[in-house]
Amino acid sequence: MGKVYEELNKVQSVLHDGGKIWTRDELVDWFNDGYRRLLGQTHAVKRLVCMDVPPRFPVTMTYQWETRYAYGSNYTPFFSILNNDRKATYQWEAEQAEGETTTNSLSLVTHPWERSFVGVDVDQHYQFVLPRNSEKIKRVAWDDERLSPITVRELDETRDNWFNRDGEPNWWTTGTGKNRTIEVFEIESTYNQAYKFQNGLFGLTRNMSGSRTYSTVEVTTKHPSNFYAFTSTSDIDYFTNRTPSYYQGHGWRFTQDVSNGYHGTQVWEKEMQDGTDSADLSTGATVGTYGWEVNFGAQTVNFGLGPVRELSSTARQYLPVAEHTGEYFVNGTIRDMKSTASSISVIESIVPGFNLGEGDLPDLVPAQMVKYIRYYVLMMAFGRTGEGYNPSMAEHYDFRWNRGLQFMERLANLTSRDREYQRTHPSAVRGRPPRVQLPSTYPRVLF
Amino acid sequence: MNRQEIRDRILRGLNESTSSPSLFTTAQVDAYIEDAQEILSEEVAAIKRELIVTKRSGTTYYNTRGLATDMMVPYRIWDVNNERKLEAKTLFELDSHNERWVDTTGDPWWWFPLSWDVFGIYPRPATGGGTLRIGYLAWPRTLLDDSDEPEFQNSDHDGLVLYGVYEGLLKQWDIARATQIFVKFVESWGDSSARHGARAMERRLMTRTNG
Repeated sequence: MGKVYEELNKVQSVLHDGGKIWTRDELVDWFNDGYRRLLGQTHAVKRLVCMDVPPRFPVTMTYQWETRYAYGSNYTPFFSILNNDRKATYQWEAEQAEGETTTNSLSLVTHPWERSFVGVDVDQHYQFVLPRNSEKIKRVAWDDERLSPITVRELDETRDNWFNRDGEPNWWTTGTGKNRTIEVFEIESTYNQAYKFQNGLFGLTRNMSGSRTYSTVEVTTKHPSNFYAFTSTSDIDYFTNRTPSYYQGHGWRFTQDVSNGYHGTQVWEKEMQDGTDSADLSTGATVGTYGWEVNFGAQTVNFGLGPVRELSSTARQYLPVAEHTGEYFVNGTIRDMKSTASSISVIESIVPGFNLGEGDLPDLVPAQMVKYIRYYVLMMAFGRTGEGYNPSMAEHYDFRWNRGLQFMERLANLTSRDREYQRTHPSAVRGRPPRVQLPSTYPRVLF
Repeated sequence: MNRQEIRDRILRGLNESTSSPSLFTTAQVDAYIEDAQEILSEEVAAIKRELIVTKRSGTTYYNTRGLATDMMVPYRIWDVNNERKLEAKTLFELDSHNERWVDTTGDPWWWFPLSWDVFGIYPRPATGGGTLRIGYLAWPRTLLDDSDEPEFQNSDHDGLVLYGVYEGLLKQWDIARATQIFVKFVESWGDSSARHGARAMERRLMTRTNG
């Protein structure tokens, strides 16, 4: 894979210019433009985005200018009144400000998740915001079931305050919000959150727990040993948390909690205290206090050290996704976990989230496609009016660039080589995708 | 032809010395040859490879970059244990077929695209085991040294020479002559494509389908 500077070196060899006529910064800017266009026009790169329900926003603001200082997605719950000169919390304030008789208004929430407390009778639209590198939506689903697209106009035809109707989402729309926001109809107000990071927002994932069963598997053949051993959590809490700490490094608790409050080194001790019949007790084993004692017959102790490297399950798939950056390489530690279950999931095409520097890799595209970005840079360079302007060369590289776009579009459909295409009747009407048809003998479905 | 022979022909086509070219370095001409290989494989679909991947319980999606770094696009997925080809579908067709396709388990029958580098199979296996043979169109491997030969058939090698000459002329800003050479390169795609496709079989009954 060619880094940006390598491709620009090739560009400069064709331009016969070391930066006098076309500066390096100019070439980098065109490279980023070409990279963004290659992805934006072909929609070749698609990613899965999951959003908890109700929508979550890190920042709520009152005025639009505050978005200049907000990092991440933001939400504006208040209403603009009086020629957008004031902000109102309730709709009746608009009536009062203009000297009219007020009518009762619904609740206002400053964060959409508050709907889980106040219900759906809220005057604001139920908006989800997509990441900044979002380009085009391919599919929206609620709890893994596809939502059909619908326009605001069609929803308005229902002559109903559709934006706060309670129920299971069946439709999605671009809604009335800002760019990269969508709304669903009907709306789910129950608070759902698939995963929650506890005890701090920084550092590494140390343990996973919940309604599912999680276990760690050591992936190295070399078993690291513990620095110390302890019998109860209270022992180690004292010795490690005191200042200065008595013990450094990682330890191992070689006992087990028993129901009567005691600790046992053997499994059968726990079973016996828990009331298991003596005939059913587990066989005893040699229990060491240090990992090296495995050489003398003690049980092997596995220490799950370091960051999580892989998540696997026989019941579901864990997909690594580099969020927001638009980069492919999923390095580093887990910063967030989402699930498609009981959430809104969106399959969308993306563009790069940030500009590349000369030392970066355009890794959202195949390495072999980078040459077409080079052609784009050459097209722009030769097509720029002024010194070095060469319309013939620009036109030719434009042809090469467009050829690359066409190829990338074909690549975007991985099954293009495995399908038989045939011309459809020209009078076929393209409508909304059909829903699953139940057979006539299916029991009556009541809503 | 090996890489050196192709390079020498390109330089002679540009009226350059093969031993000490004035306007080009060896690395530049080698890069032209690599680009030519890539473009030819993109336009002609000449290079096919196959790999085997294990079906894993709960796994729906596969990343092509994790399967093979030279994978351009799969053209065939064969379920070895069930002795059948997976049928290519779209997400649209999946959703129309089964609203809860995400949860459905069983032996896979279909495969569908998600992104240029991700595809999925449906249904997802309930238990691990068994393999899929994935046939794919590939980008060519990089030529390792001057004695290395391109994977294409010998009759395609002159196309690589044409492309190298074309790139050299572009570097000299001789757009008129470069365009003529490029047209010849493009014209060779049709023959090359047929050479790796239908014409590969000596005799075949071809009939015209209804328009």
